[in-house]
Amino acid sequence: MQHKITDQELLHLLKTDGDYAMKLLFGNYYGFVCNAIFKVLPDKALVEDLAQEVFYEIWRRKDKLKISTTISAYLKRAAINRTLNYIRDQKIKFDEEEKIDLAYSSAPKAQQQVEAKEMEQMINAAIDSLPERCRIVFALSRFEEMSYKEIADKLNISIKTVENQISKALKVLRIKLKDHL
Amino acid sequence: MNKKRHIELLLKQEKGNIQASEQAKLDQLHQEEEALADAKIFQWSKQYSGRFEPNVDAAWSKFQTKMENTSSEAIVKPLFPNLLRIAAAVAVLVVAYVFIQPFGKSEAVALINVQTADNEQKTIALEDGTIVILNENSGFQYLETFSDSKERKVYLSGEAYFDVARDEQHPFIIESDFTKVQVLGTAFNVRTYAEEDFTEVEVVEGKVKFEAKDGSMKEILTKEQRVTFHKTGKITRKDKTSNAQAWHSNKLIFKDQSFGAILKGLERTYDVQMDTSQLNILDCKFSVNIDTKAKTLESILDDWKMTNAIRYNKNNAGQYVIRGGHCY
Repeated sequence: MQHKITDQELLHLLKTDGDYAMKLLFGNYYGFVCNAIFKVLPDKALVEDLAQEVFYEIWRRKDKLKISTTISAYLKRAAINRTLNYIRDQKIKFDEEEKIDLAYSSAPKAQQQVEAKEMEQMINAAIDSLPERCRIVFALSRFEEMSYKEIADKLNISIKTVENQISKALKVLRIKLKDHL
Repeated sequence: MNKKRHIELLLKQEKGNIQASEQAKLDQLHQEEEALADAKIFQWSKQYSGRFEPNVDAAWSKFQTKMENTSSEAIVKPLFPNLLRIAAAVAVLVVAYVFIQPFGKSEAVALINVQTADNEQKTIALEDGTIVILNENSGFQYLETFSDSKERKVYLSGEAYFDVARDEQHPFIIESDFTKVQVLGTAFNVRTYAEEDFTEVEVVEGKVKFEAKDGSMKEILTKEQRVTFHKTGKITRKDKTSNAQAWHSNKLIFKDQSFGAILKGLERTYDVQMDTSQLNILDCKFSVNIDTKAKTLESILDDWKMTNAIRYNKNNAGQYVIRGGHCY
């Protein structure tokens, strides 16, 4: 029954009835924001905390808020920026060694027979097994399509470190997925 | 390089009798393989689906607490957490008072009160061009001019059909004893008689937000949707209109309205534009019943031509230019 409200109406509503607009915004986009963050930081509790902060910031600034793109594009950007700030604040040492879990489950079937769905599961599992820092840098590069330079700038690390993390991620994934390569 | 050659080189490497050039070849081969694998991984990784389905309801409750706490941010560390709640409740009461008494704020603007008796209907043309057709035994209060306030707020008890002039900057809000209707679009019917235990909103056109003042219900209604909110908290929804607005049929009934307001009503009903800058009788009061289905706009204007000596013509822009006139 509830009508799918347009971006424009929602933005208008934010200024006239902020609480109600927040409820709609939250209901429509909370999962979306969580997933955007989860791709970079696969820690559910942390993801929810960051997502809450993203929405809170919108609520706090709702009277001044100006969105020139779509709401989803805006929220995604806000989510990633919040995530990057969090990572930077943690002062994670991206150039230190991380323990890599190289255990992998070999494919039970010949590679041609692997169904698309199983393949997706395997890729998910492989990426989820990446060490934290590796995962962050890899996700920003692959999912957020940020350049090495952008990643380096946002995380306050050197481009060399970004390159090292990416090649480390690839090395792990090559091993994890070797039955399918 | 083929697989056989590759294995040959691997075996040589294992035995330690591999030539430097062969070792270089093997390294190159491995690099190529890695590059190929990396390309595949790059491609595959795009299929990664962050599969996290949070509990949105739980998250929303948490968020609401956060929102509530912020409104009392000024108090740094409350000695008694309950005091905060009381403070919030008092704040709500104060706000409600201002809301319920929106008309008391600006003394200069008159509050107009319209009442209808048994079998009586009245059409009210508001200054923004909105038409309100008030059904029998209803009360309607509104400000003579909205220009001073952020919202166009009116108060209804009884039943009325609204055709609201679009103005995104100034939401149109109809308050009744226990509900609030905010208009995002145009035409709808509201029934909220004090002696009946429900408020019903039915939308003819556009979008309407309908909510209980205590926050127990909020709905956005669109075309041909009807929601009935009972005082008990029960909500009934219906998707096909019952023709609730049929009571006002096609009659515009103006009682003691200024000619300017009546023309605004006609502008909206007939969807035309009028230029009244050369009209002498904008403030004269009239009472008329107009059957808008039977009469064309021009036949209505012709009547006034006869009785009040107005003149009119249609200009190149399609506007009706109305001039002259006597009140009598």
